[in-house]
Amino acid sequence: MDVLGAERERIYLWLLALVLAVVPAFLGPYPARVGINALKFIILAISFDILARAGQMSVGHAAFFGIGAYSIAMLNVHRGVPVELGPLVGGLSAAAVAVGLGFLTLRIRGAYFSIGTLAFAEALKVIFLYARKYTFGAQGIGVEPLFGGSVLRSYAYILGLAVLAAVIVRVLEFTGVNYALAAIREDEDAAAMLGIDTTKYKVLAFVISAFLAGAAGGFDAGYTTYVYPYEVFSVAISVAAMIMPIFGGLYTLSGPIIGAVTVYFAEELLRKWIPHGYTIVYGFVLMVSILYLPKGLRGLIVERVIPSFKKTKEKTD
Amino acid sequence: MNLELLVQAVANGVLLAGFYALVTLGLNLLFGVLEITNFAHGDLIMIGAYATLWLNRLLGIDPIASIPIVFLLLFGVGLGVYAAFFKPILRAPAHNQIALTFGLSVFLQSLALIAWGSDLRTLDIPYVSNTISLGPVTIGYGRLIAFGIAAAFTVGFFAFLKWSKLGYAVRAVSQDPEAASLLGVNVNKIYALVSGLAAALGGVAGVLVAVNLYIHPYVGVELTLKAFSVVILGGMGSYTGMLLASLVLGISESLVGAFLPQGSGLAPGVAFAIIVAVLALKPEGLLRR
Repeated sequence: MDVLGAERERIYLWLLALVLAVVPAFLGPYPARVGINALKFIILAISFDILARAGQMSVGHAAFFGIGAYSIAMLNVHRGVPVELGPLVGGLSAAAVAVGLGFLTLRIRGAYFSIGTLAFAEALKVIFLYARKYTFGAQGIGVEPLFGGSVLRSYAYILGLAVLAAVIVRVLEFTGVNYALAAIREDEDAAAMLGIDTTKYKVLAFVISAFLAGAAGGFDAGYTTYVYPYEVFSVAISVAAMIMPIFGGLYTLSGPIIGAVTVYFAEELLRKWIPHGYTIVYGFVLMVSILYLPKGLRGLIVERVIPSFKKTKEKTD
Repeated sequence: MNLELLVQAVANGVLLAGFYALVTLGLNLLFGVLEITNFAHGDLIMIGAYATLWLNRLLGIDPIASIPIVFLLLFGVGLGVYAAFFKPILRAPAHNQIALTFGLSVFLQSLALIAWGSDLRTLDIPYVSNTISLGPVTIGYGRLIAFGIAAAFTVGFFAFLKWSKLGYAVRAVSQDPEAASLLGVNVNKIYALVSGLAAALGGVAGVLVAVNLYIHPYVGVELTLKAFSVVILGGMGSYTGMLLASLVLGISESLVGAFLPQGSGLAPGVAFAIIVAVLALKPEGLLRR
């Protein structure tokens, strides 16, 4: 009875979250825009978290976001492919790159992997700036607006993608892939000894992660109607993808979502005070999370806030 | 191919290599002793460059004369960074250390952006643009000064490590902190000293940035990546590897800049190409510690 009650409580909470996620769409253009961006960051945060579950810390996640954005932008401008296909085209392009890159780099561990991802993102920036014939270099690419500029449809689209990302995480958890990833994260050699094909699982996590980041980028191209190398391959996007799940709570589904929403709102407020350099909140929150919040905001709520709330309730009973 | 241009490019590359060796030295030292990969190393160099700039603009101090001040300033910053950030995560998993130093990097960049804006700034020192002719090659004073200072500090650091008692203790801690501790070395103090020294050497590299390059908040990220390419190619923690890899990076950047179409746009990509190629083909680097 108690177990079933807890399960029901969780389902109610997720339904509540979904309803809350729909509301901003109907509050006017500014809240809708904030909602769309928050959902975009939720997808990026979940994408980073999936890779982190395999023990890999990507410091250049903007690489996949940028590949997603550029693939649909170039196909739209040069071949007339509709931008509505952006998330699919962007996701598949990023995933294809991740397959190749994965087998090359996932042998390497820890800091080396992180350095590799950072270098990869910066290298792509140089390449896309250099290949002017296709990318128009620093000028960037203007793209047709998504759904002719309809905010409501764009909102529904990105919400659908965020739900898809959440479903993917749940599928990984229910099929047991999650346990293999956790084993690799804790001790890769031991996991290999237990018969887990570590390279296969790491590449799988890498490809799914890249697909989601690329899909977010593919959406962003049509939504912002403009793709610019300094923007889509920026450190700001890489660090956002990294800080949000760490601050919210890694290796969970709700953690990255909580982290994405809180950090993005904080950034949006701060942006008004300091239009440049608002990223200072990223750096600060990242350091504080590592030093003082090992399980993130979610861990704090689950382990401290809720128990203390229940205790006071018992006392009053 | 034009032979004179080739000799000139190689000479410039060698001078550049000296600068890259100093840029990498602090990163390599910190990794060798504390085993922390510092993603904020370039940002400490950036702070050193701004310090040089303001010492010159506000107090009229010549950049070369400002070296001791910047060294001490960054030594202090390094001690602070150790106490506040490195010490609590010494035994933490690698991904936590990476996230923390990356957070520090973003924090310092944003701070510089808020304090000084994103303008490209330069230091106007008349003698830097002078040149000297040595046979077929012409060398700018700025590059020559940078090479000389970098070489002096690199050699000085090696001498400190090899012959001073403190350097002996640093090497002992880097080999086996527990054994060193049993023999009476205060490991915590050595860690603090190394963090201070790593930042101070970065600060001197920052002086050279101020002399030769544009100063802006993101100059640190570029230098961090170059330093990473050097340690990855040379092998993390290896000093011989570091010197060799600096030469490879400096000369190849210079050649790409001189001989490829729009080469100056591609030169920054050399470091990334090195990182990706080494990680894919020979992840242990040229020389292992």
